[in-house]
Amino acid sequence: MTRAELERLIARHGADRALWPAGVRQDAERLARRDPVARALLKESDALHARLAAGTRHHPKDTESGRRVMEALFASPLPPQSQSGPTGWLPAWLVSVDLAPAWPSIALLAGMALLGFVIGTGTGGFGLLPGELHAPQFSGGDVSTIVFEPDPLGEEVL
Amino acid sequence: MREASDEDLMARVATADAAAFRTLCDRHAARAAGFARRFLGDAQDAEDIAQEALLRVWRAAPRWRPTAAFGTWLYRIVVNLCLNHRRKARFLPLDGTEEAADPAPDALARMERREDDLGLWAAVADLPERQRAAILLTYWEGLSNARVADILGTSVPGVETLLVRARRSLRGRLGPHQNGG
Repeated sequence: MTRAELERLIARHGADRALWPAGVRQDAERLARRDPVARALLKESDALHARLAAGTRHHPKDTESGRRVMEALFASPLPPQSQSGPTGWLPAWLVSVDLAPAWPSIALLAGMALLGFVIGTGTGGFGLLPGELHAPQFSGGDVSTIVFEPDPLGEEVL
Repeated sequence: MREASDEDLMARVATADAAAFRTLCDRHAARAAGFARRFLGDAQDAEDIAQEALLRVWRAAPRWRPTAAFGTWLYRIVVNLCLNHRRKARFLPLDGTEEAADPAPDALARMERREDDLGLWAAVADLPERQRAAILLTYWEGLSNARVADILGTSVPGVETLLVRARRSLRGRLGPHQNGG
């Protein structure tokens, strides 16, 4: 086990090593015994965990805030619910992340791009392009004309 | 009599049952506001966000499908609103350090404890937003990595990476002394 693996294990299982799977815990303890840096890492992680966990989950301030939120929410009639609409088929979580309103315009843009592609390639059967038009072709001779052949170093330069 | 679950209440909220919505809000308003306050460091903004999140729940209720726990969905809305707030979390005011669970018996120890907490809050507030969200959801809300992943829209290994980075930053910022080492 490496130090990086140890850090990931702390993130995965939490700082309370009693809750770790036995094999993993033994590996971590072995590493801590032979590596002072890993030992310090575990100690610091324990201390940090204790400090972070010391915060009460439900502080009186939260209760006060909750009460004020309730007052504000119900001070006036609730707005109408969105029974249907352009986003009605979307999963609720998508509606909640502010992406949903953008979807109709994204769909419109994608539709226009697709239409442009179909018209441009003439594959849609619109008959906008004459069938006899073919992609330009180059012969082998054409290629030689575009090969850049640098001038040899002229003796006059020297 | 069995208390109605959040999902039962949501089914009633979907039919515009305001009483069910009030019960649901009663359960979750303080938690939502508390999370937002810790994330943003500002009580007023946090209350605005909690209110907006609950209003979104009301509006979207007819479309809601119980594919995940209601609490997870609500947290997702609150986290997204906080992220969209685009205001760097300010240094918490001193009274924001009342988070300590066990006040020290004498004034000096209490003051030291408050200073320690202030340092911790400042360090948490300085974390990148997603790392801060992961730390708050994991430690203050006590959620599993799987639920945090669901809320943040990432994978469990993604959450582990956020936590590893956040803890590294916090350890570096707080140092061995402040860290209790």
